[in-house]
Amino acid sequence: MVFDLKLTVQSDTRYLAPLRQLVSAVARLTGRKRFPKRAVTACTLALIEAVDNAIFHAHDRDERLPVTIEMSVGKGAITMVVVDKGSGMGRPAIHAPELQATKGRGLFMMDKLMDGVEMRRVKGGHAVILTLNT
Amino acid sequence: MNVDVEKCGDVSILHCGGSLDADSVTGFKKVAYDLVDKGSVRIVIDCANLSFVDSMGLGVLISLLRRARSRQGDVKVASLTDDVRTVFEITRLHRLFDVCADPQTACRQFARNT
Repeated sequence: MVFDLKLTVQSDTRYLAPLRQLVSAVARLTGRKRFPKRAVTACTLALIEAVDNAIFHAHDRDERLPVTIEMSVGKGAITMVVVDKGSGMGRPAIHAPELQATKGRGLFMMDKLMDGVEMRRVKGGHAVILTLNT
Repeated sequence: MNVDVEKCGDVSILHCGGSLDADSVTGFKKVAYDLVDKGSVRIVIDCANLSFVDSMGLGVLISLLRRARSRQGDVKVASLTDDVRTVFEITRLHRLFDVCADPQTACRQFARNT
């Protein structure tokens, strides 16, 4: 593993901007070979979508509930894990929403951007595991 | 995010800067919906300084488009940055919105449709 971090934030959208900056900072630290530019765009957006889901769907905007984010940059892959206190969505079918739909794009976008999107029950909550091959 | 409104005839250009995400949609929505409610239904979203859009930001843009079109207006997007263009393309929203090279082109397109 080249780089590994774990942090916990409250369920508050004011953390979204710092999280975006964090992805860019990790990319700079690990270098273009491990974290190419296209990966910065994909990982930033997928991470924010996963955290949005945790804040709005899993936690219903209850700021007291924590969202834990793990990010690992290794040889050939970047992995991000977002853990919330919700019960998860089971294994929802991922499909393109109607063009004029105003909701329901988060999971679809994660799936389009990443090579792997996995959902799993974990102790005390639910995890979304996002993997991008580099 | 910051939003500056410029009038170009009966077209309102919203110069957006920063990020349109879950944290900023409420502020953007207020500015944009106020315009439509006051009858400004021809809108250009200038994305030249918009660095990030998430699915909630897209949702409010689509909602604005639907409001404007229901009043015989439209919303065009202009000057997409590479990252924002990527988001539009993976969600196929470049087929829903008229994507213009810049705000001036968008205004000319509105003028042609008058």
